[in-house]
Amino acid sequence: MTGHLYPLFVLAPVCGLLVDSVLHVIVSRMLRGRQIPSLAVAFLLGGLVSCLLTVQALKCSMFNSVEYWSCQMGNCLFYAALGFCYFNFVNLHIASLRIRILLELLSAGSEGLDVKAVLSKYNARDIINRRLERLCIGRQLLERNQRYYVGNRLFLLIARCNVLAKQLIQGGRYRKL
Amino acid sequence: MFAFFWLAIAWLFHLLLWRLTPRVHGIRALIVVFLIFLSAGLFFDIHWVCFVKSLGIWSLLHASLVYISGALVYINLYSLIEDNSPSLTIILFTQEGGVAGRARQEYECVITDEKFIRLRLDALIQDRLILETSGLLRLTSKGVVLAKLLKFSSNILGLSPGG
Repeated sequence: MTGHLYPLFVLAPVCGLLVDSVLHVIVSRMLRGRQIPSLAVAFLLGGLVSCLLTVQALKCSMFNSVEYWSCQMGNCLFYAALGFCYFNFVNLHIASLRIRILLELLSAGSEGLDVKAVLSKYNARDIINRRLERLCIGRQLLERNQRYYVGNRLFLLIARCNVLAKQLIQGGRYRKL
Repeated sequence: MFAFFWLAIAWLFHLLLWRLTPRVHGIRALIVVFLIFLSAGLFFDIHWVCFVKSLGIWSLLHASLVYISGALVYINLYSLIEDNSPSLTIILFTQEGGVAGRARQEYECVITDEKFIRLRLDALIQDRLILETSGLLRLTSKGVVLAKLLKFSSNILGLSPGG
């Protein structure tokens, strides 16, 4: 594709990502820190901006319908990839234990933190409790009579794909937990 | 298309490298592989193939952006694959419990301090972000820079750490 609107075509998904990130910050503050709905709304609106800019960029093109829709789909995928990266960036801040430890050590300053204190604060039981609570809220797990069952099958599918990917990449080094 | 093709080549190379050299792994090595292929692809195109270059500088930028976004998606997915996510471990363990389900205490045999907490602390030490001396953990200068950046981005995004 060439022409004076080609730069707009190239940058449309990047503009969509900028809109996604700015809107996420605004909407999450309006929704008092609820991340999933604010990420979803921001992603959709950013995608809309990306699509509209792509439509504008393709306006004067001489493409047939197959080429036109291929360009649209290509830019949609490009935007989806950028949006996914942003989602993971945000999710890291929420879920990552390593980031939490780094921030605690930053607060502790040059005095540092005792290893035993860190291990007692961030222990497996604490992780289990937090994750079970989070998974129940998201309905990936269901609790009945103090026992847990799989809820949303999509997350189970993701977990199984994760195992397959480990086996593909790590090969003989993969060991099931 | 050139970008997707080149990304696929980089991914296959990474797969082969990971299988042949078990000591080479980690996000940093993966980023290096993708960067090398990006540079090589641009150099190769500019000087020999001229496939993308002939369409102008915006085509080169377009191909680079598509390649980078695809690489970033894979790097994000790889971090899930390399680390053992507690949530995914819990889901699989619950599934294995079948119709009987799982009690809360049962999860303590799959989510242990050794497998999850100590492993992550050791990774931070290996990456030279923290130091462990005489039973105390402290940030290195590199760790301070990263922690400050993360604190800044957390404040901008209005996020509180979970863990």
